[in-house]
Amino acid sequence: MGQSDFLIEVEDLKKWFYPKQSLIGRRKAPLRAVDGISFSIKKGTSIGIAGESGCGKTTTGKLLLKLYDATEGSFKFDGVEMNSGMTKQELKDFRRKAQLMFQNPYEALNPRYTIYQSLQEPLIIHKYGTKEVRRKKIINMLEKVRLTPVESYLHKFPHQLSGGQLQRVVLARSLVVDPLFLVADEPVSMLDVSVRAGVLNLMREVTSTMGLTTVYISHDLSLIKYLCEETVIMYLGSIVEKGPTDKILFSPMHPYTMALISAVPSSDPDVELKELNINNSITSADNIPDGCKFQDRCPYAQEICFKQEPLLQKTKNDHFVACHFSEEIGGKQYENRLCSTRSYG
Amino acid sequence: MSFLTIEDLKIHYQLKNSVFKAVDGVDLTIKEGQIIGIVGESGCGKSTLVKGIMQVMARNGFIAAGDIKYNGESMIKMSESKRRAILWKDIAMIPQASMDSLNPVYRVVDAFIEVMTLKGGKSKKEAIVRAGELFELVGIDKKRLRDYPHQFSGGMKQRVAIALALCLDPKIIIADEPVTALDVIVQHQVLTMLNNLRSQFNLTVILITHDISVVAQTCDELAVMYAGKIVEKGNIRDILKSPRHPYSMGLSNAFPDLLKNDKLISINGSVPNLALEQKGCRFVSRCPFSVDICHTHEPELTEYEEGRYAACHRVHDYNELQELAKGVSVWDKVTS
Repeated sequence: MGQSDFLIEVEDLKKWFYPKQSLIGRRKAPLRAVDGISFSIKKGTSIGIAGESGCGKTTTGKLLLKLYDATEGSFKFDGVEMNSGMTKQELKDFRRKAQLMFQNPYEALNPRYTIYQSLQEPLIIHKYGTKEVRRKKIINMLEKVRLTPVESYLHKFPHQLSGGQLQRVVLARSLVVDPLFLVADEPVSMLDVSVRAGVLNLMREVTSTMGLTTVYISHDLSLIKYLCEETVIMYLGSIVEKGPTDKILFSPMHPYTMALISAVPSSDPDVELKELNINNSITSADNIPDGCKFQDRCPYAQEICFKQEPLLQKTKNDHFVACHFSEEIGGKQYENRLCSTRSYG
Repeated sequence: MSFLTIEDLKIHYQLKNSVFKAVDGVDLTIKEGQIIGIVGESGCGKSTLVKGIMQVMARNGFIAAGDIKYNGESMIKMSESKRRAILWKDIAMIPQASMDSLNPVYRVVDAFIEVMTLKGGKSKKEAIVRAGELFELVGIDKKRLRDYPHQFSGGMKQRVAIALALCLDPKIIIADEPVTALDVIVQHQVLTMLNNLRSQFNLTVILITHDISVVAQTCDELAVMYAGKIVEKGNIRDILKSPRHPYSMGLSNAFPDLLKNDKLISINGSVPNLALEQKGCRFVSRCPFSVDICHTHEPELTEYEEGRYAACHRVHDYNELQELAKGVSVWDKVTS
């Protein structure tokens, strides 16, 4: 165990959903939710997966936790291939090491369990120590997520806590079994603005002190920028661009990434709301055209884009992009959002 | 010209043993052709405020005091039938979670027909033609009029809801969290559309949101609400560039921005229980800059510069406070 530098290695992973077949009629095409993605995550780093709804980012998260079995492709966790041939014990061991943090803290906790019971549950399942040891562990964990004084929280029920506090409990529950890997699916989108920052800072701090490898799934690029060293941009089940977060956000090469970035509103009133240069409608994942998946929304599409699907290729500085014209498009002076200012009056 | 004025409005909810003061004395003047943003965290009364304008509060809600004047006429005193005539025709609302506001068993065109025949006095045929025009305006293919709501994506349903609000050419649109739960690209489209409609039809928009970055690029004026009151209002640029109320300063710290590298700082604590009697400033328990007077006297919303209002005892120390507000340790002092 632990021979490689990478905790997660994914190679051409696919997850297709087959719609229910009707008795008569043609076989329907499968929904290609995740359609051949490859990436790896170094131990102790964090990676963000961004994209529109329906691009397969949540499915990817579930594949990485083996909540779905992949249709095709290989997924290695800590150098070990995670295929369907795993024994029950191996799977249970994996379940301890890889944890999920839910989006909605109001629904993620059992309303009839006290905070203590909620945190104890995973420890019991994984047969962790004696009652005393477990208690110490839980108190220690709650201190780590800054729910202090711990005594006053232990025997409270979820409805007595605020959203921010609940999300801290959810985080504590994921981390109490000492996982190596955490998937956080939209971790703060349900929280109030004033407490979001607190949870984000906490996650950043706790994951780095525990040396966790983390995947953040979010459609909010500013959140990913705040939390992740690397970013993966997905579009209709494929990766269109990946690389270090700064490179992706400040010198994007793929037209989709550019559109995504210019759509993010800024809290600076002097920045003008820019016209997007891409088409409105999203192609449905059960009817993907030949060639580049982004063809019908892309302002730069040319003949080759309708025929041949571009492969994810390395450009420079570990920056990968899947576009036939990334050189020209990326080379075109990328219009910085700071340049256009809003006019008043 | 101001044509919708809210004067010292108080909207309370009757609870079993107490009265919950969701909106507790709000003054707001809305000028024609303006986009005004109302921001604040959940539970600050922003949705109740707009429900009060439409007078569609929950059953235990009532207007305890104050007035809403539309073109100088009180909307509270006017008869039910007269008010109904104004709503939708003059003031329309895009409800929160409008994706769920369409009836799932009717085709979307039926919603348009219902509104326009009942309220607009149009024939069914005219209504269908108008619905088609509106669909094009919001960027949806006319052919999809006969689809059911579940056949649309979230962003498209949102646009249908906007089209529905526009169908009787209202003068004011109240949009309650119109882009929350939408993807960035769709969010961008909806905001651009609101902007365009304003410039095309001189529409007045009241935009309710919790997200500062949504209002920053669309609104002219901004009102920051906290615990049932407006704590700061004025020109949006002034407020975002140089906030005067500590709560506004805190809010702008709490937002991640693509262009900024600052550490995020949250405002510890939570909104006070509005069912209890409030003493002193409502923000005092979360404010790192509170002084003695804040605990005993509630600050009034005062105009300290032309067009700029803030409700804070230390409003004149803003230079010093803005500097202090950038420090993480300052906000951490307040125990959560």
